[in-house]
Amino acid sequence: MKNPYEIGESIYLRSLEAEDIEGPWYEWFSDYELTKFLGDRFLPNSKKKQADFFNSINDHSSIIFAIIDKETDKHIGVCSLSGVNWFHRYSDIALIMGSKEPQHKVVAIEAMRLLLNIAFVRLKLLNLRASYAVTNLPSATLLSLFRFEKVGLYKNLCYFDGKYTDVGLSQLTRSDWLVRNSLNLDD
Amino acid sequence: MNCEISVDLKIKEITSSVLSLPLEKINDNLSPANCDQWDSLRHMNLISAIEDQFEISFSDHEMSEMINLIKITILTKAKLK
Repeated sequence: MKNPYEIGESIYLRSLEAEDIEGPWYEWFSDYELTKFLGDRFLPNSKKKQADFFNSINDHSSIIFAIIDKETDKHIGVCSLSGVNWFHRYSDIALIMGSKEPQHKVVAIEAMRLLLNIAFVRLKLLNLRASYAVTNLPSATLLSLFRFEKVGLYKNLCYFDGKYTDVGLSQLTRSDWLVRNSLNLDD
Repeated sequence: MNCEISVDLKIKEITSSVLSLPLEKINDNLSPANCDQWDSLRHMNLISAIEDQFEISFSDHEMSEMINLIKITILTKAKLK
């Protein structure tokens, strides 16, 4: 493992590094299947654009993690806490699995677990927000599995996968997360 | 039929239904790595269907441990005790 920040059974999360630009990361954002439900990734990506993005990351308000396979040390996805508001203690959450290898089919659940642990334990955030195209069933199901509560809906807001689509808004509070995981942290 | 066997059978029936596979093809060694039908969405639907069926709620850690049918069965049974 190299520079792990949060370690799970089969994966770990670490900070993005400049060398990640050379790997598969930039290619994921040209892949239609991976990007068809993303709000701002509708143009072809390139190493140059990914390098520009990497250099623009503001660590204070946007914390982006590489998802790494522990066994191979391969970069297989990214997840983030973005728009972090340190006064109100909330952020937006996102997760993209880039790998299509069979052994990584169910890794999103572990990545989400690690990310929630970072948000609610290490960073002590109080609320997480997520938005998703209602037709994006994997995202909607993942959020539902982790008990994100649907709190709103934008009608026909975004043009995803060939049609205007409703965008759901959901929220997970730290207190609900603590109860569901039977955690009683000493705050 | 004792309780343990009925939980095993119910989990296999749910798995068969979620993965759209005949019940006789559902065995303890089944996992996403060796089953084409077992994709990420069906995996999440499977966990959700088991929670609904047995009226239980898995923790984040338990969900992330559910990487094959045998672990799903063990963790479900532990939850029901």
